[in-house]
Amino acid sequence: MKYDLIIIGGGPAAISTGIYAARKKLKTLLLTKDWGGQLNWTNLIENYPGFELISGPELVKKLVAHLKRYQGEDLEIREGNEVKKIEVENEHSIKVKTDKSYQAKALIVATGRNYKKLGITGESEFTGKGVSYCVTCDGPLFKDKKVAVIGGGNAGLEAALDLLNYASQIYLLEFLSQLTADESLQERVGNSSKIDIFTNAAVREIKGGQLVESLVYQERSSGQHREIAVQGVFVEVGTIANSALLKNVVELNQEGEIKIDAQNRTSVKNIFAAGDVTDVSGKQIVVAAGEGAKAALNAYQRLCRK
Amino acid sequence: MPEIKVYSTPSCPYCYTLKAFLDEKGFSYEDIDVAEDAQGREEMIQKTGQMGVPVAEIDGQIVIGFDRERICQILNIKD
Repeated sequence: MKYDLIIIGGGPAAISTGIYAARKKLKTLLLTKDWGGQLNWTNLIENYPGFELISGPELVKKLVAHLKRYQGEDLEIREGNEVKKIEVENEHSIKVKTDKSYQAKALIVATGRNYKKLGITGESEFTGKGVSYCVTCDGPLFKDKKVAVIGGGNAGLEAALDLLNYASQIYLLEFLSQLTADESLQERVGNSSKIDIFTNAAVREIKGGQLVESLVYQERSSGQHREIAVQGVFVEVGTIANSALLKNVVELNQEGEIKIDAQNRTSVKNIFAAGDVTDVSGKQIVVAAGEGAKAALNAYQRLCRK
Repeated sequence: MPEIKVYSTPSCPYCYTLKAFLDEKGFSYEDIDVAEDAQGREEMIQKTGQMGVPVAEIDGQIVIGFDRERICQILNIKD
């Protein structure tokens, strides 16, 4: 069977796309590995209209429940499905492969972003064994332990401040010669006797036995390697667009984001994209939801025109 | 009913998702808050050799993270 539209993703952009597509009665298939995307690592949200204060997971629950109201004849949802390949057969036929193969006239990619990795020795080996990308999730496990936070931007400093509740000692490492976080955060971090800041520090290796035991960094000024004993390493060096699947399919910008125009069109006809995976400005939940709606409406118009 | 233990922290989004999933499917479980319960924390680290939450122990089988597919498989849930 051929669908009008396939949507890939499970965050606010994809969910909003799904709702709009279903309301337009497009024969739609939504494929996602899981729900919520970056919302899952967001503790509290205070800038999504209609909700003065809501937690990430609660908002996910509401979004998914809303989408599933449309599940049925027009909207088919397959969760737990990882997309492995996208093939453009021709202008009116795009193939999306999970373990199965699906075909549609148009595709909307709303795969969001994931945290960036350091790419150093020991990082993947010790992920979950002391290396973490989510202070909100794992911070409490490091009660009375020594930890390192990698990254001197807002995320890094917020992580360090959050860890003050648990860790006995926090080392904050930044590659550049100074922190890049907002002044107010820097002030709060500077006021804490439990946080030590190392700038010009290039993290080289994470070492340990069964669990993390230490971290090696290089002082960029002197070239010297230093090792600090830590039980935890929190990596907070930003996020990256989940666009690997599209690499040789549509045009990406230098940051790996999918290039789109004001109608959410990519460089390939009938492939649209929405939300944080694109080069749209404002990586925000409300923007992603709006972009998802736009993408669905534009795809609908395109499909009506043939 | 299978015996289920969930090792979690109050602030962890995937812990919330995992527990909501078990609630939705009608399974009861013992929730161990490893942020407060130091003994539970050590027990979890020892059993799993890792420090990430959530961890679900279902009739002795360990599932790390919210691995929906594996949980469905062990609990025989058609999803």
